[in-house]
Amino acid sequence: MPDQPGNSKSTSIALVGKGGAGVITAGEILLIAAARAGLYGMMIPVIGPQIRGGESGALLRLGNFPINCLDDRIDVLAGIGWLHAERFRSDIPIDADSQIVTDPAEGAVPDFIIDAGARIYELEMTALAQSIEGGRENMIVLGYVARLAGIPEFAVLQAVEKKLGRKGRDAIRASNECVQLGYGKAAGVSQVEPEAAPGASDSRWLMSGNHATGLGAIRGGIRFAAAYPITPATEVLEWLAPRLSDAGGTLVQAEDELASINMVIGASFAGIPSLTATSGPGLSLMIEGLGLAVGAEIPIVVIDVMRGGPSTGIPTKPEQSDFNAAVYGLHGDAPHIVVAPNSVTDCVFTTQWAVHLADATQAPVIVLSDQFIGQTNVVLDPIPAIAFFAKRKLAENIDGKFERYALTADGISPIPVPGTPGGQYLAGGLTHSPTARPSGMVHDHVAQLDKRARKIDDFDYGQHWADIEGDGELAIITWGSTTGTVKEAIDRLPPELSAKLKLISLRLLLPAQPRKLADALKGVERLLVIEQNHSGQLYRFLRAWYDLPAATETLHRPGPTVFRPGEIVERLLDWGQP
Amino acid sequence: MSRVPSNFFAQPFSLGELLAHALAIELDAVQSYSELAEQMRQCGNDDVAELFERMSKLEAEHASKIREEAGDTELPELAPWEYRWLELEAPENIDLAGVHYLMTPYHALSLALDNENGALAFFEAAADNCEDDRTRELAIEFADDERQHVAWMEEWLAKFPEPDTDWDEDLDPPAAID
Amino acid sequence: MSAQAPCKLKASDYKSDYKPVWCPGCGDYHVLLSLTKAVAQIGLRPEEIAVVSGIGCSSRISGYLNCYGFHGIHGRALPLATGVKVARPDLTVIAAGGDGDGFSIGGNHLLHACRRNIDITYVVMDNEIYGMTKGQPSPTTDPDWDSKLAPGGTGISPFHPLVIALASGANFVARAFSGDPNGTARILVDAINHPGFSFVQILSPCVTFRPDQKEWKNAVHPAPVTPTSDPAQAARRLMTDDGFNIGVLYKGAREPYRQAVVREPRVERDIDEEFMV
Repeated sequence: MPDQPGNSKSTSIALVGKGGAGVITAGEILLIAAARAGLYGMMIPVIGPQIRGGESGALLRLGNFPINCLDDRIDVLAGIGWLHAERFRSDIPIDADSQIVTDPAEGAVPDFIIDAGARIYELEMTALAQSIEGGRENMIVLGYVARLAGIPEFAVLQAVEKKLGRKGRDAIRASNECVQLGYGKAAGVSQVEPEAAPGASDSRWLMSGNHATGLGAIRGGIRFAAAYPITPATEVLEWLAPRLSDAGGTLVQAEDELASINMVIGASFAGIPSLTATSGPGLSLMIEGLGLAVGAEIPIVVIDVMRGGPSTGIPTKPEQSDFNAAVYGLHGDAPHIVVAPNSVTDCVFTTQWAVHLADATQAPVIVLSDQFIGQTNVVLDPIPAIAFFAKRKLAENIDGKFERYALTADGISPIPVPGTPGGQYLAGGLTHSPTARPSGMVHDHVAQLDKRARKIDDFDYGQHWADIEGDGELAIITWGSTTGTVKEAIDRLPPELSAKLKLISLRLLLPAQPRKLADALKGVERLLVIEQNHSGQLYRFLRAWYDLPAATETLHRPGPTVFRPGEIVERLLDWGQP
Repeated sequence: MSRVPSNFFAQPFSLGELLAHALAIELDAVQSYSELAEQMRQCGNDDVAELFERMSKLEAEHASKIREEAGDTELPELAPWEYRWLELEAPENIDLAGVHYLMTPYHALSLALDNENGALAFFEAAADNCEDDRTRELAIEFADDERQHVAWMEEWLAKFPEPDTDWDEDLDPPAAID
Repeated sequence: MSAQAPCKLKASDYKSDYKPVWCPGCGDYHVLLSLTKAVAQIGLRPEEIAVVSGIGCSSRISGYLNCYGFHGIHGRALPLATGVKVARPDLTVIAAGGDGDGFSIGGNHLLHACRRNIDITYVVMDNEIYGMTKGQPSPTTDPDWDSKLAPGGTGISPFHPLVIALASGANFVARAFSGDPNGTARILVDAINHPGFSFVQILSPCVTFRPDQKEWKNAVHPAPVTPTSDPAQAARRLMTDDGFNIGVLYKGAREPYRQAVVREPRVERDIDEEFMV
């Protein structure tokens, strides 16, 4: 594997081919194989516009350290046919050192690959596959590429069993033979020796951000979900459906997002922690409902797996452009909470934290995930369970006149579970008095606005508001999936530069934490804000809420391609000059 | 709704049933008038509010009298639709078409008069459909009471002239509050 | 339905102390009366009832009972109520609203609530107008009814709520008239007790913007048939419905929506294990 700074090593692999060739399956098996060999890794599927039969690709990066972003280049590119491969051009940056695996029988290697000067390796995938009964080209390529990457053969075979076990012994036998055949063919070509990394084991986890989000939800205590499918969030809901049921909860498929947001509000009003997941267009539909949850003080969690926007945008690609909608979208003065996980692993904690925050503050919490985190499969260390649960301040044993929206010091007033005698009240969006009686009087309106703002602003978010690493007079603020790429970029800097660099990855986006950020920025003279959207949404927000150093710049661009460490390194080197 | 064959004549009234019906007329009237009074207060129609409050009190007095009359007699527990009125609606059922936020005492008393006439008609008819003499006597007595109430209402009503044709004119338009 | 012994409250005990904003003479006063009589008759405890409404004059009703109420956003009473009932099958859930809230902005939710057959009762107070916003035509308004927003009338055929509810799978379909509170109470008791989605259209005249609806008390008449459990027969009856037939049209035997939050885990599943490589 190419060397990273220190002893970190990683290999980037891309498998492309026509739809039906099983490229994505091969990629998934390769990732499992790497995990079994004790490596970390990630795999992102890339697809063309057709539902079936179109071109597809699997982008992998495997390494001996936790992988949270793609590299700047591809080490190995294998193509099972090169149909429309140029559509993936921006996803597969190759150069003269890249190894290209091709089957001459499947067509010529595209010009952009030739022009890059990459080294071409011919592999008769079709012929080899046909030589084995039930053989498939993707398994031949899998074996070959695994050997190139230095993955031990046993790991690949184990991975085949795990992934294809359901298809029966014949399928496994055929696949294994193909793998072994391809593996053998690469032996003379590969520049690395296969090794099981120290501590090679099968105790690692493999999960996507969407599944990790679901796990965080259940761990946090969610027992009701409403679901309307939308790319790229659907997997959160599909993962939750059976597992919620097993946990004693339930998921209801709604007729639209207007229904799903109102269903979760109703279920939460009835006493059950509730959640829904969507993407940008769905979030827009849910905005009115979010406002209702604010006004009626009902805890709910809404996951937004962000995709390219605006409007229908680019459904299958990530972007961090729903920040404004999540933070500013609600009409009226409607304080609420917005959090963002900054890696696949962090989806578990941040979602669980969101559930806890929602119930504790009796307010809606929006979780801004994105397609990159959501649909990337990552090998990571097991995530132990922590004791952070949904727990609302309940009104019980109610005696006498009950004030649902009492003006308490911390702004949080006890909420009854329906069925509790004496706790009957009218929840709703109309401005109300502390007893919940609708009221348009100035003192009630102001008092309730103060209350709802106070409960959010004064809440103790602890140290989870941001992940802060390093120290120095230079600081970077970023959030979400960009974090992993920034971290890797920092690792690649010359030590004298990274030594004076502080990284602040915000997990709590709203409410702003002026004092905490002021503390974090003590001694910082120059600030760089990095985010993936066209208009610098976080940057504008920071300007509104915080005193920033005079020398503050931004690095922001929209999707659909994710940030690569190299482009950040380039900017940091330039920016870091005194 | 009155184009319906009533179940009034399905069977004769027992003592308990008659008392239950009589009590229901009064208690429901207490509720209705009291609610109407509240509505009139909300609209600033204080004259009529006071009127309805008085009527509610009167009906409450009538109800007490009936309870006394009932003594220890066991009254059947009837669902609201199990009462056997002459028409499908109970005599004390307010015809909301006669209610208006600008209604005058004339309107309120006309409404009350309708109710009393309805109650009167009920007891007169019930007197011919009783199980026994005791019950029949009571029905006649109740009918007499209602006749008296009708007379009072008519007398009261006579104090108020029929309103002008523009009694419901409001120079302000309705408000949209939601 | 309550697992404890029925309580013996009077209808007026179910009223909250909020003074209704409705115009005096509004049919909704009698709907409130009918509803309180109905729940009193069944013997439900106030704290075990959830009344969920949208926005509009009729939707104010959730504030006028001393039950757990939710005055939600326009058109969304049914998904709110669905969430409540699925989360807490032990509660009696009543959704309420008007014809604009329920059939226009809420129309899609009506279709799917009927389809799901959630065990709730939906009461629509139909006055063929948007009353709260001062008199626009609603989906049940006649096509030639003149208004500021649609001078000369909309020219659009009105929606037939009972047909839609029946076709979408509601398990109980009825029409009532607010002017007969006792009769309406009876229909509501039937609706609440009947499993699955119970749809009750209550004709409830608007005293302020539809003075012509004073005539409704002369137009309504009891339906000349007993309720049927055959949806085809119910559909045939609706073909000759004059819009003023009062009574229960249809009482079906569809299974109510069964997924519910049950609180106790049903299966010992180690989710974490699934992620192991």
